[in-house]
Amino acid sequence: MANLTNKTIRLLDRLFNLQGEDNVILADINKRIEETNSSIEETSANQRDNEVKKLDCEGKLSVFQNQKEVFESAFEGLDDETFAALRDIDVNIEIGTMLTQIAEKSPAYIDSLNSQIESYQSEIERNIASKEELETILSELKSDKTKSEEDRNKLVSLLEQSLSTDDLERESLTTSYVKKILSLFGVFSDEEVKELAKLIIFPDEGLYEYRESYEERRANGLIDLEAEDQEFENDYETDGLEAEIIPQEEVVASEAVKDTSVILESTRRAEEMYQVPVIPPAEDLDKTTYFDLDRLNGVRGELAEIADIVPGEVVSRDASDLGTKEYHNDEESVPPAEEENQQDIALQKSASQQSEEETIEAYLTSIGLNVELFKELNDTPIETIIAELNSVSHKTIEDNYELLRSINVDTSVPYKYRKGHMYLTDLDLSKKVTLLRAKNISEAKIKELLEISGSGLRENLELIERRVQAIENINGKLTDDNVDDIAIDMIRYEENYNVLQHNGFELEEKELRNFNAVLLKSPYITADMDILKNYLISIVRKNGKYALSVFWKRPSELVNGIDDLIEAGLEDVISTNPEILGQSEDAIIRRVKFCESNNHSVYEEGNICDYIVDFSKFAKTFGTEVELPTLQDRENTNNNLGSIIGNGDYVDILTNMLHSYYDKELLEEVDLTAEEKEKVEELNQQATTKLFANPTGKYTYKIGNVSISKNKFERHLSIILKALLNSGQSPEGVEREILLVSALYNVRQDEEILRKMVSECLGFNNGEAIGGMTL
Amino acid sequence: MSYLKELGFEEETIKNLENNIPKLAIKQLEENKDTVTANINNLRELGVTNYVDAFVKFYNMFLIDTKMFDDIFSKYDREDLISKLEKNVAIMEYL
Repeated sequence: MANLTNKTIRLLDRLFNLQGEDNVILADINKRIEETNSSIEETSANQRDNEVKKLDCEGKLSVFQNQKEVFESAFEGLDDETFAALRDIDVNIEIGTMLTQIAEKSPAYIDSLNSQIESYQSEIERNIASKEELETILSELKSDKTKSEEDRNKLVSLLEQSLSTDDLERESLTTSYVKKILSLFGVFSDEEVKELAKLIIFPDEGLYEYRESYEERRANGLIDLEAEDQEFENDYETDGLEAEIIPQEEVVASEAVKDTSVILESTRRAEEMYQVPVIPPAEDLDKTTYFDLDRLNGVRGELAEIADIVPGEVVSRDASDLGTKEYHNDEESVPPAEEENQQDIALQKSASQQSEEETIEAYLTSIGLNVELFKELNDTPIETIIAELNSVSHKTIEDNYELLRSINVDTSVPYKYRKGHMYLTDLDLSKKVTLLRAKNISEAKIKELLEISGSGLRENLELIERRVQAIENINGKLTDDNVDDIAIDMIRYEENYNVLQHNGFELEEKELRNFNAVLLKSPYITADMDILKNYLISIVRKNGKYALSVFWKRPSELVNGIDDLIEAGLEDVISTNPEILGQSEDAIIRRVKFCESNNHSVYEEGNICDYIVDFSKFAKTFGTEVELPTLQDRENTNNNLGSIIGNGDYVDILTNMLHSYYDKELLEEVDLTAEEKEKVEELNQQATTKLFANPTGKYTYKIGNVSISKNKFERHLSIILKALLNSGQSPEGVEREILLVSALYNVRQDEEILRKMVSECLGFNNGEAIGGMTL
Repeated sequence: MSYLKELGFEEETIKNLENNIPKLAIKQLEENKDTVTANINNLRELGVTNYVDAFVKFYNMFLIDTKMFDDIFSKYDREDLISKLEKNVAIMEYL
């Protein structure tokens, strides 16, 4: 690295370190996240410990007060002399003294317990506050990490662009953009940014060379960032720039760690002020749950009461007060119409069904849901909805309802049954929400997604996860702005992406971004890929990027396009400019013909002229009013093959075989047996001996003055031969027709030229040409 | 794709586009008119004068989500970007 000074090399070491997944910034953040997590765990453990101690004191206090009360009320009004007679048998019970002692000592004891409870309580509050503070720090660190990862990706992309072998890719870099990216890290001084920007914009001034040596230097342990910091510090001191050497990130980092330790230390110190904990009795620990159980028991009691209603009994409800149903047995209170209606329903339903509905309805009401709204807000029959609600546990319904309420969704959301789905019965609802939260989707957006029926959250979790992955593949990350895309069917994107990967496409992030619509929407990638493979066509452009627009084409459109270009004598252009396959081949051929007939160059220095492949350049060069020559319609040629080749009826039959093949949306591979392949090969050989077909390129036969696509010719032979053999007919004696139809089908040449070509096929005698065999 | 006319495209350019790009791509450009319009307007508002050329050459990019499209261009200094694109619109796919 002759051109680079040691100082610059060290600067580049720091730069290249930053593009690594384990760069100094991320390593530091990861360390701090780990420390904060363990601090949170420690604080949580302290909190639990204090809660146990507090519970223990409260238990003691409660037992003491209870026993004191029992004692005082049992012996109220008695004194030391009340049991004086018992002294005669040496039983000395001085109740008065005992009552006095209890009265005297209790307040202090109760105060002491209350004081301990208070201390533990304030300690718990301190723990909670510390934990909240730590969690805020953790959340900030995670957000810093996300940002640092984004910055790292930007740097990776920047260096890839800088070190690209494509001139245009390098030229697209601007100094301001490079400086902006470098400044993101906050670790380089202005001077360093300037120096690095120069090296990035002009990589041949040392960056290429440095890149070549980087991995080797790293493997050999020649990169020591910490030692360099020291050296840098000295360097900067000399330059009077010492203030810039401490990266802002590091300052923040040390402060954050200090914050964590201060919180922990204060927690620890506070902890030491209190007594050694007494292990609480199990029943004390359970006390906190008694309240919940009581509440639940209450609910269960209510449910049991409701369940007591005999199946088939009329349950009346006040329509104006749907939220507070009343259950009773009074048949008299039911209006006749409703009674009739209910009787009808009762007839239709089995007793068990009705019982099921009543039970679930009662349950739903008990947790605050308005059963009528299930009917009002859905077109689906209530029986279907009840069956759905009955298909999951009450706990699922209750948990989901609670979750929806905690997100503050519109009150109608829990009731909606859409596409066979209800949030109330969704076994993965909580996981879906957790997934979105983990991806930093805002609560407001989550609420919105839950409220929009077609948001995609009603899909199953696995599908949502795959869609999230796909969105991340396209956009880099899931955000409030793109999370709506989880409603889009990403399966096609994934399939297309996999097909491309499977075929060795190494798509860059920017290519995926620029062509994400193709991957999302094109149903043709698999079939088009087979066609490209069949022709052995690469769609890598001169700049190394893929010509992905090709995949907008229907397979038949692509095949015909390739054949047309080959037959127009442009097979070399497919190789050098595969992007033409993503355009209308008609337009390209017409531009070529225009140039040929007007003496304009089609090629310059061996390369196709830009105005041929780029229609906007053509318009700029020749104007927009230019009349391009029209091409022969392939349908006309196909319909006239009988007349051109002769033996019209038989040729029409062969032509129809090819029509049926191309009429299909996705072209099928012609599956031939070994014997059929041999026959095709045999016929193929006759192309040279009988048609005088002359191979003039990778893809082209020349017959007379007419270019024929080799692949097309062989494909047609296979289709025709397969069809003939399938219908028990032999190709013997009709080789001329088969060969000529295979060659001329879809050709876009003037009829006169084709007739001339046919007449020059001297390998076949005249008799064959005129009469030939018929079916 | 007649809506492009309102965005400053000449009729001939639109006709050329329709004659030169695959049918499914045209369908996408029509179905996603709002996204395409927003993205074209984004470039116009930035001051990119050769936005028609950019569209003709890189129509696929105009189907990108509008926020993401904005992110591509907003990371550059405005003047730098305009001058680079005017000099050679082909850099667009590298941005």
